[in-house]
Amino acid sequence: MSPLLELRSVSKRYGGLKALHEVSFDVQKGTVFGLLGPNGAGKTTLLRLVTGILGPDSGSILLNGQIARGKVLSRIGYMPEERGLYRKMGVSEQLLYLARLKGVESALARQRIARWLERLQLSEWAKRPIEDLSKGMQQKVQFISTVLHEPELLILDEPFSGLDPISSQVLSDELDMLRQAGTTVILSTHRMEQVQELCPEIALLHRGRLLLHGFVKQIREQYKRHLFEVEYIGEPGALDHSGFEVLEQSEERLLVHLEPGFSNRDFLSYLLAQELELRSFREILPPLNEIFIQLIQESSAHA
Amino acid sequence: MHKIWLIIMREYITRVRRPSFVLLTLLTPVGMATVILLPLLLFNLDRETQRILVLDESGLFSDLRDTTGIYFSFDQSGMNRDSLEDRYEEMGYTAFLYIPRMRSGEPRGLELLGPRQISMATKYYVESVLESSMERINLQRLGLEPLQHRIRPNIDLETGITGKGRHRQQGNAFAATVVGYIMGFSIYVVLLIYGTMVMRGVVEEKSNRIVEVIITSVKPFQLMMGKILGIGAVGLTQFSVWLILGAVVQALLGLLFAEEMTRFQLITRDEGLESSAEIGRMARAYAGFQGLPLMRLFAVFGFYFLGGYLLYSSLFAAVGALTNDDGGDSQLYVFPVTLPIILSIILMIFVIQHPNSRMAFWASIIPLSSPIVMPARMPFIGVFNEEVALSMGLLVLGFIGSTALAARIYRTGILLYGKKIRPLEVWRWLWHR
Repeated sequence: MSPLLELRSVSKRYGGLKALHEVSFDVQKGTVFGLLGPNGAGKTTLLRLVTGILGPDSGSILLNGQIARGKVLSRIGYMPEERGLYRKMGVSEQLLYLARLKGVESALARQRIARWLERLQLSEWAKRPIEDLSKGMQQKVQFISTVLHEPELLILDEPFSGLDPISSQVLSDELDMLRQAGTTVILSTHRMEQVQELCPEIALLHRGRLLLHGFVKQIREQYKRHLFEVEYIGEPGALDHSGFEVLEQSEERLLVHLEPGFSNRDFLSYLLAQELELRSFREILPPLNEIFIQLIQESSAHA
Repeated sequence: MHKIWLIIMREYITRVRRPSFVLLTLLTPVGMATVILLPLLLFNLDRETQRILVLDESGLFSDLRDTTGIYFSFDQSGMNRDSLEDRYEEMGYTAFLYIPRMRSGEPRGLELLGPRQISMATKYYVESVLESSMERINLQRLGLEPLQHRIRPNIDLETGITGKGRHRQQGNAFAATVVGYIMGFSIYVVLLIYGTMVMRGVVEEKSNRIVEVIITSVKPFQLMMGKILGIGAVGLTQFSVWLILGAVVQALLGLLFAEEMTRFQLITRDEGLESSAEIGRMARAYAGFQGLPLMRLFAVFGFYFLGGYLLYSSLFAAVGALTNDDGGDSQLYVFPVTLPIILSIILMIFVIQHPNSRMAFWASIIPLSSPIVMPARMPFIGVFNEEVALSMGLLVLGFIGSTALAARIYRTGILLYGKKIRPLEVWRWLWHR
C-alpha cells in the first residue's frame, strides 16, 4: 500500500536560519502518527509546509502521490497550535463559514454541523457567539471546524494543550473514532505519555533534522536496557547470580538488570527455582521521554 | 473567486448587521451637522458686548456706526479725559475711546482703553469704523460726498472660463472651492476611517489566531483582498445611505419651503430681476453650484474614493499584520501610513487656493496624495484632460503596487506571533522572493 503522505528531502530556511534540513519520512494510511521534538525543532514549520501555508525551498511533499498544493490540500484538516475563532460570530455560523471556505456545500455543511454539535453536546450553543463559550467548548468547536470537510489527513498541532482531563478524553475518543473510520492523523505534541498511548508510529525532529523515525514498539525495543520488574509473595533468599544485577529490592518487588547472554527465559527459570510465588514478571521498556532526552542530549553534544 | 466572495460577504455582513453600524450611520450626519452648526449657534448666542464711551475732543465725529456687540456712546457729561478714564466703568461702560484734537486732520494719538486686553476683533472693528467715518468727513469737507459711490464703487467681479478652443462659461470660484473642499475632505475621512477598520480587522484575526486556520483554505492574498473589498462595500453602503438621507432632507426642505425656493430660483434664472445685492450674490452662488459639471465631479469622486481606499487600505492591512499581541509596535508602522494622508489634507488646503500652481500639479499626480488633492482640484479643472488621465493612471498603478507590496508583508507578518518585527526584517520580506 502506498503511503498517504510522503516527504522527500524537504528543506526550508528563514533568512539565514535553517528551519528544516533534508527531512524525509512517510505516513501510512489510517495510522496516528506522532510528530515530536523540543521547541524550535521545526514541527510547526513542517506542518505549515504539509498544509501548503508555506512552500518548501527544496524537496517535495506528496499527498496520495500528488504534489501537495491547490485542490489536493482540501483533503487536509489542520488545527494549528496557535488557533482561534472569531469571538463575536455565532458557533454554527462560524462553522458554516469555515466549512464553505473548505469547499463544502452549504446544505451538506449544515447537516454535518448539526450532527457534530449534537455529538459534542453543543447544540444549545449553536446560535451563541464564541465569546460566550467556555474554553473547553471553544476547543470543541475548533475541533469540529477542522473535521467538517471530512479530511483524509487530520493534522493536530498540540491538540491537548489547554484542555482539561475530561475534554482531553473526549478528544482522544473522537480521534479514535475518526481513525477507525479511516482518517489518518498526524499529532504534534510535547506530551509523551499521550504519544505512547495514541501513536503507533512517530518521528522526532531536532534543530530541523529528523533524529528518529519508526514504530514506537520497535524504538522502545531498540533502546531497551534489559530491565525487568518482578512482583512476588514470599521471602527470597540471597539473589546472587552472575547473569543479573539487582538494582532495587523491596518487600514484594524486585528490579534487575540482565547481563548480555543471560536471557529473560534464563532469569525466569532461575526465579522459578526460588521459593517464591510470582505475581508478575515484566520487562521494563524505556519510556519514549527518556529515549528522546537521551537522543537529543547526544545530538546536541555532537553539534 | 468563490472563496474570496465568501470572505467579502462575511466581512460585509458581520459589520453591517451590528447595531452600532446602523446607529453610527444614522448619527454621523447629525454629528457632523452639530460640529458645524454648534459653534455658529454658540457664537450667536453669546458674544462679548462692548459698550464704548467716546470722548471726541476733535469734534469731528457726530456718530459712529454700531455693530452687534459693539455700541458707541458719546460723552455728554463734559468731564475731562482723566476723570472719564477713572470713571467709565462706574458709568456702565466696558471701554473708553479717546479721540484727541487733530491738527490739520491728521488722526494721531487715538486710544481705546479697557479694564483688560482689548480683543483683536474689537480693535479692528473700531479702527475700520473710525476710518470710514474719517473718509466720509474728508469727502464732506472737500464737497465730494455726493460722489462717494463713484470714487469708491462697489465692484463684484464676474469670473469666467474661456480661451482658444474652450466653450466660454460662467466661472464659479466660490462653488468650486466649497465642492472641492467637501470632496477632498470626504476622501480624507474615508481613508482614515475605513483604512483603520481594515487594520483593526487584520489585527483581530491575528490576535484571535484564526488567521492560520483560514489560510489553509485560502491564500493570504485572497484573505487580505476579501477583507479590503468587504470593508470597502461597508463604506459604500454608508456613503449611499448618507447620499439618500441628504436627498430626502433636501426634498423635505423643498416641500416645506416651496414658496421661498421658487422665488429663489426665479431670481437665479432671471438675472435682470431687480434685487438687493445680498440676494443677488446668494442667487449667483446658487447658480454657480448648478453650473459645475456635477456628474463629472461625482465620477471623479467615486474613482478617487475607490482608488485611494484600495491603495491605503492595503497598506493598513500590512501594518495590521505587523502588529503584535501587545499592540505596542503597531504605532511604529501606522505613522508612515497616516503621515501621507495628513500631509495630503494640508496640501489640499493650499491647492484649493492655488489650483494652478506647480505644487497643485504634482500633489494631484502622485498617487499618495492624488486621492485627496485631485478631487479637491477637479472643480477648478472641470474637464477630463491629460493631467486628470495621468493622475488616474498613476493611481491605478499605485494601488496595484501597494497591494503587491502589502501582500508580501501581510503573508509573512500574519504568521509571526509574539515576536518583535523589526523594520529591517520587513524590508527583507519585500525584496526576497
